[in-house]
Amino acid sequence: MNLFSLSLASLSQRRVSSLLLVLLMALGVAMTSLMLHAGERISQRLMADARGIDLVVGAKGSPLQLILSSVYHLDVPTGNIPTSAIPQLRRMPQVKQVVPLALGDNLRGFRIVGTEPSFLALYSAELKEGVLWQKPMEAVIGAQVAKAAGLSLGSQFAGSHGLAEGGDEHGDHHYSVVGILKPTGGVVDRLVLTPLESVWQVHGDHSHHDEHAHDHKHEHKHDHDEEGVKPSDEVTALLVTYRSKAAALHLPRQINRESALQAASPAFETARLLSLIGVGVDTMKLFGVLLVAISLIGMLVALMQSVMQRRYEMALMRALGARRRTLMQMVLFEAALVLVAGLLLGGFISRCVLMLMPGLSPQLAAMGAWPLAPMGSELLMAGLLFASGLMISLLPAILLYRSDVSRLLASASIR
Amino acid sequence: MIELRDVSYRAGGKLILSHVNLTIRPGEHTLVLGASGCGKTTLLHLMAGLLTPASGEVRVQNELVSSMLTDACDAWRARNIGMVFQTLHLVPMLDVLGNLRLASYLAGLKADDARLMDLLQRVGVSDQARAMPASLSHGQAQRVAIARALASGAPWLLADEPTSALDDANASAVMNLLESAAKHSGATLIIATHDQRIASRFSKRIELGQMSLKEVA
Repeated sequence: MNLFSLSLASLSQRRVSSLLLVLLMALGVAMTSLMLHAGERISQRLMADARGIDLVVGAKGSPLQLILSSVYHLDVPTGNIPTSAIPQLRRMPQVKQVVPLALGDNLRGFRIVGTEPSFLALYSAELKEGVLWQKPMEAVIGAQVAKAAGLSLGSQFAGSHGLAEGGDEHGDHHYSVVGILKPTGGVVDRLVLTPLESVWQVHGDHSHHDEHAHDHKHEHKHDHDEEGVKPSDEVTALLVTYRSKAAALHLPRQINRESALQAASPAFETARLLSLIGVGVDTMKLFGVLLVAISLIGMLVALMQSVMQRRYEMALMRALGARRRTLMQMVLFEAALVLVAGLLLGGFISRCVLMLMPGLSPQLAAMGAWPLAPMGSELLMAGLLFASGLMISLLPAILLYRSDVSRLLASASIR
Repeated sequence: MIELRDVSYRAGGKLILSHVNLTIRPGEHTLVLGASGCGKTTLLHLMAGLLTPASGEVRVQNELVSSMLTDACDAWRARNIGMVFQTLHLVPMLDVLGNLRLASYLAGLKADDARLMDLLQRVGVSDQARAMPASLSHGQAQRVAIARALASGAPWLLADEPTSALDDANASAVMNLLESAAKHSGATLIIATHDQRIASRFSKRIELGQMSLKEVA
């Protein structure tokens, strides 16, 4: 017999309401925990993918769209820009590196990106097997592409027109897989990388004017189809790395003001994107917090009810010699048991969901494995919940502390 | 020895006991008789330290109970006073043995189920050790309550109207049980009741009237 067994006996006497209370609390904890994880994971992922890129230069339009299409490969590009911009930028003293991108096709929804070998270093991507491309129509594919499309070294495939799945296949141009990248958990896992010349070659040989069956579901603006412009005259965007951070002060403004190009900062646009996503995440967090608050109020009501119902029993225990603080501790211990059970069950539910997360949708799968270790903010939430739960349960405990034992015993005898 | 010296007690502005003097020696089984509402329960609660007198002193074995701080008094009561009530018997969330363990735990005694089972055996309910209070009859619950009052090894056994709701046969059985249990454990039995049927069993009887107390031969 001890405080723990007394509290446990008291809880088991009210086992249905105690279990419901634990469940309600666990759902609130799980929801808040998942939202904290989602917010952190999205932010980490977006930051990681843009880490090596200081500036993106592309066609005029929405800067966020330019970043989404060129860094995260999510949106459609704002248009094409002349290849002459590449040497112009490379000549600038503030610029350390320029990596061109040419987009336009996909393989089963995975984007085919015409670029240069330096692209891999920007995303910290490494070869798992094979080699880098040596000539046009050779491709290095991301880990997720290899798995989803069932491709291996030496496999051949044809790209489809457009950036989304379902476009016409360029059946007369076959790519050959020469390398497969290690999984990174980032955007590069979902890309097919090839020399710029491959993209130019594929698009130089076919004519949209002749093939109107060619379905342009995508919104990609084909400026290269304009009269007199060869595909090799254009790229989609340029990923720029500064020689020094001071370049961030002048270079974007200079490009935006003095050329027909648009320069957008991934750091700035990502922060803007995160603040947009953050509204949704914060709303979901608020729901979680509301659930937790409801469960805390539920716990207070249950404890108050329990104390009121059991005041004769408590008076009897006092008559047996239980100290007031022992009874107070018993109530607090009951609350602590409910809180700990709710927190543990909530943590367990959120971990189960996190483990299942990659299987829930391709977008979530693309983010790689979700870390299961508790985050600092999660532990803080657990600590706050535990502390506020105990504070709340002080109310019924104090009620019990102040009860008049003799009067209760006397009235119980009369009853 | 229990000593009440010039004890008065008020509740809600009303004087319940006035200048009461009483001495009960160890082994001196005592009956406190009186009509309902005359202050019998109050007198027992004063002896147990559940109430503090408005004036006067309550001493139990030279301990000034009436001046003890609440927590110290609770701890003292756990070791020194066993209580039996008329209707409120057992803690419903604990089984029969658990009720006895609770009294033993609160008195700071080491867990000794063999001793507690022996107590249950003595009051004739050892077969109900694992039963929950809700499943016991009134008589069984009262027997368990008597065993529990002795589980702490308390030298004073206070019983509040233990026979009032019982028929003659059962009242006699409960009294036999209380007397034999007190005798066996060496405890002094003090019973507060308005039940005249048990008066003849006690050599020391106190009659409590309206704010007055007298010892009758």
